[in-house]
Amino acid sequence: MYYISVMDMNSWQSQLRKGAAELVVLATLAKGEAYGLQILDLANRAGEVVSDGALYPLLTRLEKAGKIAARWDTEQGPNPRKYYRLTPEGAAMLTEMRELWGCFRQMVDILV
Amino acid sequence: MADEREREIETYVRRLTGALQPLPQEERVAVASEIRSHLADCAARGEGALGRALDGMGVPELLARSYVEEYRLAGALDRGSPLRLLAVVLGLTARGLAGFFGGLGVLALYLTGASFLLVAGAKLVEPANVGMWIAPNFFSFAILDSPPPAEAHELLGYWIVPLSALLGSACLIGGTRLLHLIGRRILKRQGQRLAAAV
Repeated sequence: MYYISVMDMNSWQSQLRKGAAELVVLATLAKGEAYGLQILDLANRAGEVVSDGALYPLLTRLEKAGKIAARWDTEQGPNPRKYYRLTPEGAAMLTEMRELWGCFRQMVDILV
Repeated sequence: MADEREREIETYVRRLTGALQPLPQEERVAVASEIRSHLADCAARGEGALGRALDGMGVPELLARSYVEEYRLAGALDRGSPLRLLAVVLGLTARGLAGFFGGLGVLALYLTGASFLLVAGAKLVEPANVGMWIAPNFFSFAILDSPPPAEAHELLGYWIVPLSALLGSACLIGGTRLLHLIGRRILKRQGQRLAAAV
């Protein structure tokens, strides 16, 4: 019984992250260009929202959707890094998502 | 110690690259380079950091699957080949009940559409055995392998050809639209699933 309850909470937490990860990544990139590990550190500074393994496919998807753009930097540091930045389309999406998130949070705060 | 960490990274990246085979070479190399760079940066942060990063990445084959599935689905949606898209959708929807039944619905629409078109074509070849017959306790809209009962009355004549062609086309178009709808929905969910895969 305890096991089932823990599983349910994990699943619920996972659902919450579902909704938040894309918004958090876009909001992180709104602060400026960053590469994967920087995005991960910034996105998770208040607690884990995105995992290492979830971040990169998400970045690829956002890049393919035109919400973010990327460039490779092979000159700084020992490892080549792929830097991401928000596109105007991504910025517009972020604005819309922030508004919806704000409304949703207010609504839930009133109820719980 | 540094050598051991490098070996761990290379092993992970090699398994990932192997599982990314369906992706185009350029994309495969880009994904592998980015993951290698991430792991190397993490390893440089000190003891235990690489282990945590590898845990966060998950099994390389599973990580690769998220790229491959999305690539296949997005590719099939872009190229607009219904059969290819149907194969991808049926492959992916096996994990979701709604998608699975949606995929079956598409398959049913395609089969129905093909049947109507077959009726339209067969009427031109075997006019006596193709039609819509009605009689007490008998109804048939079909290609019969033997003549219908004598009391059955055929209603459509050669109108069955354009009617079947129209219905068949409508089923095929409807099936394709439903297929694209399911494909886009899966792609969207796939993204959400990836985002939540902590």
